[in-house]
Amino acid sequence: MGIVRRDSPAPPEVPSDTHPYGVVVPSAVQAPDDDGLAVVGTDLAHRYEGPSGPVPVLLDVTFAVPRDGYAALVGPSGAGKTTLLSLIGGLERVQAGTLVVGGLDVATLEGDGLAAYRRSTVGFIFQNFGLLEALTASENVELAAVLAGERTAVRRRRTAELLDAVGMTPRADHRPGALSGGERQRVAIARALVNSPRLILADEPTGNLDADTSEEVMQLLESLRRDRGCTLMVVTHDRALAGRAAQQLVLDRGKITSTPTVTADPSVTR
Amino acid sequence: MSWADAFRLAARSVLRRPGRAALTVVAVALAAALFTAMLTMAATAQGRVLNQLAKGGPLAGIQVAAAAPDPSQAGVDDPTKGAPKPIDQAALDRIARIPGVDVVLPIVTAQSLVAWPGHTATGGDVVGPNNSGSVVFDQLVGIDLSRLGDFPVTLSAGRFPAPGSVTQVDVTPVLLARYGITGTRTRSVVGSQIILGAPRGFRSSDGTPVFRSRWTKATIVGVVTQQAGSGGILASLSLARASQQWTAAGDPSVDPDAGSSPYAGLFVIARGLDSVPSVRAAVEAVGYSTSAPENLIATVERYVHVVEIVLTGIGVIALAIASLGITNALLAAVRERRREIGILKAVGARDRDVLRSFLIEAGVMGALGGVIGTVLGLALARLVAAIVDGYLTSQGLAGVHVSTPYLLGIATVVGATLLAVGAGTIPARRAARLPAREAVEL
Repeated sequence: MGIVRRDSPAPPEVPSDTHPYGVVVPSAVQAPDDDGLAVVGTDLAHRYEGPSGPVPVLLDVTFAVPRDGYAALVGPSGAGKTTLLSLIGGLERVQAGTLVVGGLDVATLEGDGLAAYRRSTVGFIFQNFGLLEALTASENVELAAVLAGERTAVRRRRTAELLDAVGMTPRADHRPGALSGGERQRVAIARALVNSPRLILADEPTGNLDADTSEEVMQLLESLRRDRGCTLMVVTHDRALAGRAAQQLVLDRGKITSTPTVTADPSVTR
Repeated sequence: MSWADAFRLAARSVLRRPGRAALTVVAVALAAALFTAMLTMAATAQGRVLNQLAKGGPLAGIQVAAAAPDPSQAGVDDPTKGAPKPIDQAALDRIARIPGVDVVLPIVTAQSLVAWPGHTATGGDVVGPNNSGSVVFDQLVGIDLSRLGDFPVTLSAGRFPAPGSVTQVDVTPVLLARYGITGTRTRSVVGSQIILGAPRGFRSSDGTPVFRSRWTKATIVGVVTQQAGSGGILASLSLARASQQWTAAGDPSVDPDAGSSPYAGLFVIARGLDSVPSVRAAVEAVGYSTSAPENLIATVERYVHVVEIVLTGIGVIALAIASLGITNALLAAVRERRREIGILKAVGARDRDVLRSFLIEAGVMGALGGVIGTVLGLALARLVAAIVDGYLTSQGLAGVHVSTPYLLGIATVVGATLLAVGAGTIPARRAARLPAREAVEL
């Protein structure tokens, strides 16, 4: 598929209790397993071209999320959370620094290799659901498998299983326009999982939902993550939602600013 | 993504915006209809004009007269004839062996008296048998009725006589005009009975020249215009030969036309238009005068070809304009669907998956427009042809026939599809280059 793998980089040199940005990184995070799907970013920097020149969005961001981890990227609007998630998800090219996902140097990927990474390694869930209006719920879920070239019988079976897991089987033939916000997000979750990714990235998954629906969606996301043993990273500006995660990465004006707390998650299924 | 899946995705995207897709398809359909209609009408007009020039016979037909060629008329389409020269079977066989000749068809003419009960002819003052009314003198032209398509004969009412029939004939408007029957009234003569008389001259016991006729009844089964021979009655070879032989057995001192050439002429069909000049030269070398509208046909074909080029150009321009509509529509679609394309990329679509999807969208609209336009164009051509046909036949002329140009239809659909795909290339490439981050941009 064109995915470029190189020898796993040496883990970032992080002292047991200090960090260049004053962040305490417990040892559980220090030595990510290269065979798993840990996410390690080192000195990541990113900028966009604005009308009056380049605008820095990320400044020397270093972090590590363990395999099967559950991390929340939290911070005010404009802090760079979505940009960091986009870098991890391969939606943006890495401009500076290194980003290693499951031992794969994402910065070296391009073209078909990058598409394959997005297709098979990552499952992305968008704030605005990201469903194609022309397709039914079932077809939206199946789309990722279609792009992966899966055989029709296999992808339809997998689609049916996922729609059932998210409780959307009765609405499988409805188009997104006929679904509520919560239902659309359920379909989006199912689509993100159809190719069995090892890393799920959710950008404000409850941003457009009411409180009750948000709770349902987060519970669903977390249970699926536990059942499948994925690494989950969630972008949110909601501190309460961030508190559900085992690890919080606080961003402010493009920098990691706060101590990440990591709790062991004994419910992870390996 | 397989081609089948790409088609399904493209079809869904097209149907998602039915109004815009319909407008684009209509634009292509109108252009394709214009293209198809113009070329079909041009081909029909060409066929009708050439058919008129060939007087209903094949374009490579050559008329051979029972006369010597006039050397001063070499290369002329319809030259004046030289001295009479009979055509016998040996001459026919010799002409048939000329390289480039496909078939030689004999034409037999016979003098004939025509009596038509219940009708009075102008200039006819001889009383027919059983007081059947006035009689006129005319010529019976006999041809092989099983090869009607090879003769310069055009039917304007009724039908042709059955091959070999000795009781069925067709008449020409020239003969009918002598009875005061013209215009649309000519159709009314079909089914009428006429009496034909083959004259024979002999001398009575006192040496007085006398003519007697052998009379036969015949039914008029059709009205034709024909250039096979100079005569107002078209009949089978059998009937014409029988009449000719009866007349030929007469006294030549009474009737100088008795014992004339067994064949009044020949209709020679060359293997192709390119062979006509050489065949004519060879027949004239044998010693007979020929006529064929080769120069006129070549000139008309050149002009018609120019018209076809112009009409084709107009049709192509129309299709190109419609293609620009596809480009514009797809560029607008790419702008509107930036986020959708970003989502496709975000869930793993490669650049070429997006490119293929958009090209298929363009191709589908082009193909659909091409099919609808071809059908519309053919229908329009048939409608115009029907109007023209009605007018021509009302004037007593041969009508027009529109064929179904399957190759033109296929070419139009394929051409419209390819043009549409070409028109969709720029928008498709622009879509393929969109980054996946479009999926997350607000």
